Amino acid sequence: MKYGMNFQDMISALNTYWTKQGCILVQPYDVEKGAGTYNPETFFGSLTKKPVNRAYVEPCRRPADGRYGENPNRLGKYYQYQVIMKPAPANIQAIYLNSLKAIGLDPKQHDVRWIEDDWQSPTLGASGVGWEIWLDGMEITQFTYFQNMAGYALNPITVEITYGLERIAMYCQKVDNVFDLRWNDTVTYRDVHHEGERQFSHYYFEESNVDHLRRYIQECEEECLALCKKGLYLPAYDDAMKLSHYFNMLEARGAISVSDRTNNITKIRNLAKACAKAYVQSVEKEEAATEEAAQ
Amino acid sequence: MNALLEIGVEHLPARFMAPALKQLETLTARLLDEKRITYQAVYAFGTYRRLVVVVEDIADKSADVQKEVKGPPAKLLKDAAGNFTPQSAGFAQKNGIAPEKLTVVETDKGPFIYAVVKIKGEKTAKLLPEIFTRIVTGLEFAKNMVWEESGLRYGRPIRSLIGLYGGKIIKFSVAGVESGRNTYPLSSFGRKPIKVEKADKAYYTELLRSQPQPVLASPEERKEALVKTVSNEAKIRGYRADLDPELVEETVWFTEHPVAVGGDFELKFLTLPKDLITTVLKKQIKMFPVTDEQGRLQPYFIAVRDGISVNQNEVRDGFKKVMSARLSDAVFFFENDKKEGLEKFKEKLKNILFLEGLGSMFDKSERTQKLAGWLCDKLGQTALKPAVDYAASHAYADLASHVVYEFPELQGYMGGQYAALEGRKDAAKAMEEFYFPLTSASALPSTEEGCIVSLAGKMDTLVGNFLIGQIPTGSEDPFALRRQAFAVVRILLEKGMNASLKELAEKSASLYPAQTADKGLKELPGFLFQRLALVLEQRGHNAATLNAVSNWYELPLGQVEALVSALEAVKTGEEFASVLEAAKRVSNILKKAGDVSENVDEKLFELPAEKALYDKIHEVDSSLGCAVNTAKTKEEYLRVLKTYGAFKEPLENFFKDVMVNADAPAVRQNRLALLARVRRYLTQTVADITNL
Repeated sequence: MKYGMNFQDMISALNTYWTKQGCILVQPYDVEKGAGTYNPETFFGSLTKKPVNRAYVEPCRRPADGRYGENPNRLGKYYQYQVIMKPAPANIQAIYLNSLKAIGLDPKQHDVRWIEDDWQSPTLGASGVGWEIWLDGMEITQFTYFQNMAGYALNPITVEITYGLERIAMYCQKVDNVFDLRWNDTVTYRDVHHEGERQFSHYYFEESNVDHLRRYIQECEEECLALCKKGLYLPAYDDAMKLSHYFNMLEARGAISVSDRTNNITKIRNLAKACAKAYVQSVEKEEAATEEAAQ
Repeated sequence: MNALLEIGVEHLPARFMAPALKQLETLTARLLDEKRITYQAVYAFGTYRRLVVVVEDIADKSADVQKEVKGPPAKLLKDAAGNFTPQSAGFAQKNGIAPEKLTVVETDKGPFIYAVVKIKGEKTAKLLPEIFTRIVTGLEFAKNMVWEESGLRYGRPIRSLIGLYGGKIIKFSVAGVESGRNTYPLSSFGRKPIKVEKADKAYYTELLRSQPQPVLASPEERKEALVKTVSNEAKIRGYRADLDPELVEETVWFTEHPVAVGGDFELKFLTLPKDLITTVLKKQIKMFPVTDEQGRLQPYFIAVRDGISVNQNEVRDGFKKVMSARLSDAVFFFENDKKEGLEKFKEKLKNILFLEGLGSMFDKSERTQKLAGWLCDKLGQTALKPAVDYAASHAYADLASHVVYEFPELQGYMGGQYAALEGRKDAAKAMEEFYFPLTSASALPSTEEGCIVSLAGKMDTLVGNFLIGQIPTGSEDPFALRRQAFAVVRILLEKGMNASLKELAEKSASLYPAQTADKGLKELPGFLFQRLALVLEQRGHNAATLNAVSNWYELPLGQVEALVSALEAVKTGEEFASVLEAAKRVSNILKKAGDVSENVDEKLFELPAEKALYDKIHEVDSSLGCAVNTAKTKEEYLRVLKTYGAFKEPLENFFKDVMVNADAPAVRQNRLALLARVRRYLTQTVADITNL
């Protein structure tokens, strides 16, 4: 028997649903990142007063989580579905619950629980307050009201909703192995991603060149800071994201000591802060100019 | 009439709930008192999505009150012509009364003008908007957030407000939310408003209870329902639910209508250690374990969901899948741990820091092993030595295991499991109970060797922290050093161990590398003294008595307690009380006199009272002989303390007949020396009774 929606139909359903809620669908950002929050739409989007409503699928890379495609639950690359809305609508909880309905999970027919979970990202200098949402005991979504980003206290507040797509699909399709997920009626998750999981695991755990990675990290840091000084915060932030990915790769390679780890996290946070500062300054300048023009 | 306030919030964390409801009640009462509105009762109740307070029989207006306001000095009341001065007229006007109504009142600083102002009570309906607003914004949470532009900081977003006075809406607004009379269903069941017609506790709870999806607004009712539904699920399987009080409490606060969903899990998981299974169930997925009458774990779980639905089977399958996945993880960690074994874990401790500058947990294990071994010898427990040695040197090993990494609360327990699996059953219990007592009042390790090992580990932790100056202050005690010191005292005392705190602390300190900088070890005795006083108090003593035991630090604690008991037994006797008074007097005289020798010259005695006192010291001294030095039990101490009574008469006569401050310096010095001898006897023989 065929249970639940196909993986790609689930994404389409979420796209349709959030489009109706006024979100624009942006596409995945083409730089490796560990979580959808790193996407510039979210990172910069949360920082200023301008309203932002976005929905997007985000591929996330977690080199250390790769298992050569042999573990039914672990992936080195997976997908998040990410929604950010600023300001957060007053009925956002209800809007979210209805989105579950859109992907075939009627909240009335399941146990949906909101378990306290305050998210934070030391690398982005970010924190938020919210819940992890359990569907019949399984964590399916992270729901967060951002409070700080890159060290800035935020106002207005952005709400971030992050769906774990594979997990939800596995639940809906009643499969125990992520690679058995139906992507559509004929193609499985295995067909699309298994070889990638296998090869990238080899790369991350065995083949990646530690010296190169360390060099990349240094180069990214230099470039990021130089670009920030010139107000080019977008490419600067790309460097910060890349640095973060190389750092994750070094970790997967077991090439990071405890103190190394702390230092690198501080390094990434400082770069994220520099990018945020350059962005906020440029927005302030822009606002001042508009005001002047109006007078 | 009654008043009702409901704060509709997004799911508050369970841990916020009990404090929030308590505040809701006290804050409401306080504000009503402040506004002088009388009432019969205030009830705060609700769920993690609705905080409710009902005020019963609230007065319809606040009480009138008369206030006396102090004004300028009386001389400014009227001028020479008998007219009110600008100052007094202005003061009267400011207070809204005619100048003729001003009075003059005599004060410490002379006569002043006073205005007696009558404040009329106001209608409660008019005061409630402010009161409700202040109640809502006055609640404090362990952690706050911002969600809308007013920037109000709160536990979670406020999404609806009800303010009712009788049947009428009280209008107010907080964080952009206007008050009304609507409450809403369970969170997964839409936002169709439920109209609350009147302010009444019974009506409100019944209204919510009678919804198609009931909400149990009263925490007591919810708890009752929870216990019942969970117990029933176990009962229909012929077993009973393990109703862990912490999990019951938490579940009461994160459901509005608890409904049990029971299921089974695969038998193979039962090979896991029991506490590992129950920890996964309770902590990770918040499910109740099931046992038989004897407390043996059964392959069932009872999950609790919020509300009922038509789809119970699918929900059960979901829970089962999650539980199965989590237990599979636990099996994975446990099997890996078994493959590695305690020796390997112990090796890994080299990479786990104990305290900054004090080496690794491996180093700590070695010190604990040495200290426990020393204690074994000291206590003459040589038979226990092999078990103590193994347990102490592996007590921290499980910190490097996968299971404890995932479930820190299983530290100790897992070490005991692995030790038993590796054939060290003799040491397993001591390792399992290494962290006992887990709270200040809970059980000590159940075995002698367990107590020795646990004591050694805790003393090492205390000494280490004090060495680096990490000493608890105020509410700051991140390493729970107070609890550990308390445990050290309890073990020494309750197990009657023949070791003093001093020798234990000094031995422990000697095991740290000689070059370790000492930033605060001298504070340790005072810290231990406070815990000792608390423990004695819990054992029915008067903690202040301990002040008289000057050598508490050098004595085994059993002996300290015996002496405290003896002191308490004699202290109230008439004779002793009189000696106590005299002893304090002696002490005071000597304090003023400064340095005094104890060389008494009998030839300088001028009065019989001097000689009598002198002879008494010798008489008592020789009658006790060495009993003073060998006293250990309460009875032996009593024998010594009872001799103090003999000083009553000679001391009384001395103070009656003798003037210490004699004119001749030699006579005066001699009398002071005599008193110094008395003081020594009364303060240093076994205890310093002047500190009683």
